[in-house]
This record gives sequence, structure tokens and C-alpha cells, in this order.
Amino acid sequence: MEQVKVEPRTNPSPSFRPKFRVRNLNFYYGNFHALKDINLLIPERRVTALFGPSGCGKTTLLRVFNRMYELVPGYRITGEVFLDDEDILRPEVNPVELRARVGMVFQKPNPFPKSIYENVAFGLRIRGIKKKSELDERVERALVQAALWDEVKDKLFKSAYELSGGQQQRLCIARALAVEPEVLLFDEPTSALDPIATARIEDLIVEIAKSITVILVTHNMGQAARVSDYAAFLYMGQLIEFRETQELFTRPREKLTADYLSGRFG
Amino acid sequence: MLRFLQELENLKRDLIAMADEAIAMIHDAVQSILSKDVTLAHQVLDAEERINKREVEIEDRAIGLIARFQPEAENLRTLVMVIKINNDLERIADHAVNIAKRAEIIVQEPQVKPYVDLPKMAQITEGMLRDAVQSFIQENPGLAHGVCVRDDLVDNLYDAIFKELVEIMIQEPSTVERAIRIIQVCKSLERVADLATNICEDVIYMVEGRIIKHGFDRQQNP
Repeated sequence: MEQVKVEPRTNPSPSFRPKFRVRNLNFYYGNFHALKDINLLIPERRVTALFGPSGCGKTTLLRVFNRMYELVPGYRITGEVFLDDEDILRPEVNPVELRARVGMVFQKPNPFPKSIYENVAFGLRIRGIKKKSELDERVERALVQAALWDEVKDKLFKSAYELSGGQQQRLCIARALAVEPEVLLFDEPTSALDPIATARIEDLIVEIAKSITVILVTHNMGQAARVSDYAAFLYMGQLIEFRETQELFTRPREKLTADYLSGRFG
Repeated sequence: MLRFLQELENLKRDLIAMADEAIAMIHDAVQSILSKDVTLAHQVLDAEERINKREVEIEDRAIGLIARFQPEAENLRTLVMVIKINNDLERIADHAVNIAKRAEIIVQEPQVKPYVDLPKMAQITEGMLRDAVQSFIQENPGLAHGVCVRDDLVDNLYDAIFKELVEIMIQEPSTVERAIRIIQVCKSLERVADLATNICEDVIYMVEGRIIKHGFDRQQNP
């Protein structure tokens, strides 16, 4: 796998191994050209934030990484998106298997109408794990990883709906982590949460990225700055700038990025 | 937030390492004169580039933290003071380089007079620097205040050395160049003590939010 060197400034930038390689990606909803010639490398085991004003294409791009766009009728997509060495846009790639490797956490917490335990065990059971001891162990591990275990260990069989919004979102993260994905996609994961729950999720995302590649879509520029290692600014379907977050937020090279960060538009 | 606090701790740790290096440079530069050891002066000159790089890197990271996390209150004060102290440390290293450049010449010429007050001045200045750094590490405004008070001792020693060397120059004009070099060294030390005082004023602001420099002493939030 090729090593990519990000332009160094004063800090020696670490080279990264790309988890995703996006090449000449174009995406259309009917006649609307939503993503225009996107070329991008997503670093492995880092947080990459996609940000930009409404309608810039960030959520569309996020949904490319696990082919969630297929649920929308009338789309057309061209280009290549390699997950490691496999082009996931090829029709032979099974989207269900892809989504096991590339999990997703949505804007609003969406636990199943089941117990806390069953929410986390759900994906495991689908993958044929039946042995109770193994299920118990993996449910606990996922809940620990999602920083929720201490709060729920005594009520695992209570309804997930009894949890607060922030806890429900962490439960959804635990559910996604339980099947041990290689990548987790977060689609504005804190937009429905209060500031304290948001801070917990942000800390959790940073922690998760030590072992899993994370791609985060956020309309909140501050969140992109706080949480991500790399950041991509999109505008009207184009990737304007992608670099280390610290660089992008202190010395953007593109005027559009600088104008957006300075609040001159958007 | 955890990430911010971790990165802030790392930044403070690296600033302290830079302070240790700057103090070592001052020590070696003066010791080079006192022990007539030009290799110490060369070590100081070699260290300059390293410390300049550290300064740029620390400043860059501090600005990045402000941009990314938009800290408030004590965290904001700490970051801004890290930037100021970082700049003071680089200035201190510059003074060490100035002393080392003089030392290269001084060690090769006869002494104007025995060194009595110069080692005292160096000792007090180094002590001030060490305590300034400790006050930052311990976030200890009391220790910082003690350093500010000692600045007068260094100023008095500088005045004494200056007067004594002027007397010698008047009596023996052939010493003028050599004496001026010693005065320049002492002036650098006196400036280093001022910078140690600056650092301590910054520590007091960082911990208590109180501005004490230039005779100001006002509470931001009474």
C-alpha cells in the first residue's frame, strides 16, 4: 500500500496509510451533480472530518463509503472508491458485507425497540454468533468501548428507550462497534444532543479512532476542529481543501476555505 | 475536551524542555568565560538553531490549539502565556548566543580583573530562571513573585560592575575593548533576569488572572 506524505510545514507531518482512496468520483441525483471529481485519501485510524455549508455534498460523500446512497432512487455514480485494495463501487461487492466493514452512526440516536443488551447483540446474532458466553463478552466489550458500560451494566435487559439521548447515541455507537468494523462513519452524530452529551461523544470518537478509521460529517466547524486529525472542506460538490486539521484551521491555502472559516459566507 | 487537555499538557511539557535547554545555554555561555573553555561557547552556538526550531514549533501548536478548541478562561490564559513565555525563552537563548560569541574572544585575552561579581550575577540570574520555570510547572504565583523581587539584586550587580569597569577603563585605556566585552556580557545577563521576571509575571497572570507588570495590579474579575 502506498504511503502518502501530507505537505509538511513547521511540524513534521506524519505520513499515513490510506484506508480509502477516492478517485475521480462524481455523483448525481437525477440531473443534479452532487459531487464533482472528488479525489481524496482517507487516512487509516484517524478522524477525518468532512465539513462545509448545507448542500456542499458532505453527507452524500459520507454515504459513498458504505454505499448507503443505493437507498436513494435515481442516483448515478462514476469513479473509484478503494477500501484498502478493493473498489467498493463494483457491483460484485456485496453492500451488506461492506456495511459490516464500514459501520454508520446517524444524526439522531436510533436504538431498536429492544433491550440495551439486544441492541448491541443484534448485529452479532445476524452474523451467526449464538453462544451466550461469546455474546456476553462482545456486548460488554462494545459497551466499554462506547464508554457506556458503567452506566448500563446493571440494567442491560431494560429497554434502550429508557436511556437519555446521549446514552442512546453511545448505545448506537456500541452497536456499531460490536461487529468490529474497520471504519465508522458518523453523520452529524451530536446534532440532537446537549453540550455535555456532545463533549462525551467527541471524546469517544477520538478514543475510537485509535483502533478504527473514523469519517465524521459535521455542520459544526468547531467540532471538525476539535475532533479530527484531518479535515476536508467541501463547497458546492467540490473538494476545496484537504489537509491536517491544525494546518487547515490556522493556515488554509484556499481562499474559499479561509472565507468560510472566517465567517465571510456560509 | 480530553484531547485538548492532553495536547495542552504535551505543549507545556515541551515548553519546559525548551526552558531547560535555554537555561543550560546561559550556564554554558557564562561558564565558558569563567573556566576559559571555548568548547562550551561552541556548544551554545550549536544549540541556537535547535531552540529556534522549538520556538516555531511550540508557537505553531499553541496557535493551532486556540484555533481548534477555542479555549476560555484559565485554558486561554495558559495558551497565550505559553506563546509569550516561548518567545521569552527564545530571547534568553539569543542572549546566551551573544554571551557565547563574546566568550570566544574573551577566553583568548588577558582578564581585565578577577571575576567576582560576574559569577554572582550569573548565579542569581540562573536561579531566577530556574524558579521562573518551576513557578510555571507548579503554577505557583508565590514562587513567581519571589523571582520578580530578585531582579533588583541583578540590576544592582550590573550597576556595580559597570561602575568598576568604567573606573578601570579611565585608569587604563588599553583595557577598553576587553572591559566593554565584559559589560556586554553583563548587560545580556541583566536582560535575561528581566526576561525571567517577565515569565513570572506571565505565570501570575496565567494562574490568578492578575496583571502585575508595569506597576499594574488589577484583578480582571474583582
